[in-house]
Amino acid sequence: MCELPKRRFLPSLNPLRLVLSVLAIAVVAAGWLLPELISAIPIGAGLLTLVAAVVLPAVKEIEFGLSPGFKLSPALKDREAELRSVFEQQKGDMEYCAHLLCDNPETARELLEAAWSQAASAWRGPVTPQLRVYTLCVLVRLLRKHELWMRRQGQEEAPPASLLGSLTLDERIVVVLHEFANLTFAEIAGMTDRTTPEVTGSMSRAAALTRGPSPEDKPALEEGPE
Amino acid sequence: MNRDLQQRLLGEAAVRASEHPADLPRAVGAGMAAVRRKFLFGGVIAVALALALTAAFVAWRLAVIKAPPPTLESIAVTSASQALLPAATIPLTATGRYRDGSSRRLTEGVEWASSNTGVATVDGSGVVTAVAPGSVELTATLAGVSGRLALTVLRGGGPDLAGVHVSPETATMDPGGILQLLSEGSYSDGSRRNLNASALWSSSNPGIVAVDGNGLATAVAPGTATITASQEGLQGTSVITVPPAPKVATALSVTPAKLTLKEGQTARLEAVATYSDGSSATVGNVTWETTPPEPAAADVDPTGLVTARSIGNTAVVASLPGAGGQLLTARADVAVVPSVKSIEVSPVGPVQLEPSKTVQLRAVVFYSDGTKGSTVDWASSRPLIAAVDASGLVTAVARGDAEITATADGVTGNAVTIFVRGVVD
Repeated sequence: MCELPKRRFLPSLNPLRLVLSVLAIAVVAAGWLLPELISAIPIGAGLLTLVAAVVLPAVKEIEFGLSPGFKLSPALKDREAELRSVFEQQKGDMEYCAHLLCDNPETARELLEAAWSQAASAWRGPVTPQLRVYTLCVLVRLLRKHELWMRRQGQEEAPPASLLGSLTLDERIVVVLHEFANLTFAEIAGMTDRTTPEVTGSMSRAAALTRGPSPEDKPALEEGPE
Repeated sequence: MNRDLQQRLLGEAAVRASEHPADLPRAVGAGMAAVRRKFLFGGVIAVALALALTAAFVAWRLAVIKAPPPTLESIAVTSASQALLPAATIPLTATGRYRDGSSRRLTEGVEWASSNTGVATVDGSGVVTAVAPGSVELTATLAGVSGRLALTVLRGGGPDLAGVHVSPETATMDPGGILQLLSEGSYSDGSRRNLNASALWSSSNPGIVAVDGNGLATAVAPGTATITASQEGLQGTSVITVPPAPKVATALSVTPAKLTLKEGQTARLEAVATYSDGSSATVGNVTWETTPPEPAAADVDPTGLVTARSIGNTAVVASLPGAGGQLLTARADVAVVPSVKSIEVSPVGPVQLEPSKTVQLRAVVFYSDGTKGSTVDWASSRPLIAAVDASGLVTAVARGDAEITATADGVTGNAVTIFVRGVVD
């Protein structure tokens, strides 16, 4: 399950918004006291103020992590630059993971781009190291969907192009995320909706399958379940 | 996993990544475009929600908060009689008049009080009981507003009442009119006494004629009602007829509203009155005059007949007395234009033509103001011999004689004789 940061409401409750909220509600209440249809003017003005000056800026901050202020475009540009900078730092690592998870290089590239796009769209609040885990989670989710779709389309799997290709998808995901992305088994279990014993079981099976002759006559996947 | 295998797999992944590099800016840009769309969509939804909430609030407010009831301004207390004999009872009526002009009978919440309970008492429902001779004031109070009625309790005993007579016995009243009726009692000792205050007055149809406790009748609507004065089981009546209100003229118009005449011509104007019942009809009893009176381009007689006298414009005004002494007026604008005096056609003829040949005739029209014109209607006495078109071009058709004439406003010019002959004739 790909987890996003929790919504943080308290930081968005700044004094200006509180004052504007109170004023808008007071205007709505005043409109309630006016006779007939004239009441629509203050009630409408109060509610629109509440939406435009309080709710939308707060949503912008809480849901999209955009900088405070009324202008949307500069906030979106700042956010895009920030996300791109972070993704740029993680790019090499993520590309390795994508190509290790998927034998078809074009598919791997497309899935990685889709994962970046979805992560940029869904990430809320400030950028934290958790964004890398979230992006990997989205990548794995997309990969599983892609495999499922390929099977439904009846397309036969190509012969294994690498050693990892001989593993099942679940085993391959565990091996790549643990060995190359340095995620713990608990993190992998949470990310793939599986239990930790299932993940460690996958790791053991993968170790057995990929064990091959080595100069030191050691198993290829020497690390045991955690 | 041993380090060599790890390095080998990483090396393979690095090669594939370098051959198929991911486009990070495009991916992030697509993600931010989705954010922009979500935000704008959310904004539109929020504004629409705010407007819908406004409409709902206002509708709820209009439904929940009713308009406050109008303020009670005064209370009128009435009774069928203003003089009672001891032990007699009579109900009082309290009618409230409100600031918005409405009035309605007050039945609940009214507090009744008597200024002297030794003379008369009044219960919570407004029923008065006469106790002893004297005068008393009865008060109805609601929401701090009071209305009063003075009542007299008469002394009992004396000669017996033998009959009650109301005069006039018959009457005719105009709608809205009032009439004071007189109720007289004849007693066993031969005396007569005014019973207006002590009698109980009632109307068979208060919607037509209403009567108060003192015999004052008010005509409400057309119809007939019987007013009854009762005392000690005896009654006297008066039949009052309210005829329908005569219809009165509320507006006047003149047809035609614009009239163009030539010098010497006449035309009749009609005055049409619109009445209070919505009907309309031509009226003859209007006063006709021209304005300005003298000198006018046209005269008008008492029947509305307009005679054009000289070239110019004038207005003919009709006047008719309307409701409440108001004078209704309407006007027609009359324009007098020059008339045709004579027409000269040239060549004067006779003209001889061969079949299919043509000759152009010209007409000069002389008007009464000295001006000239050329607008005429051309005609041939025998179109099969010589035809003439609207411009005066005569075309010989067949052998024979014909006369061509030019006419304007009933005046005909000199006729031109056309002889149509063959070449050998």
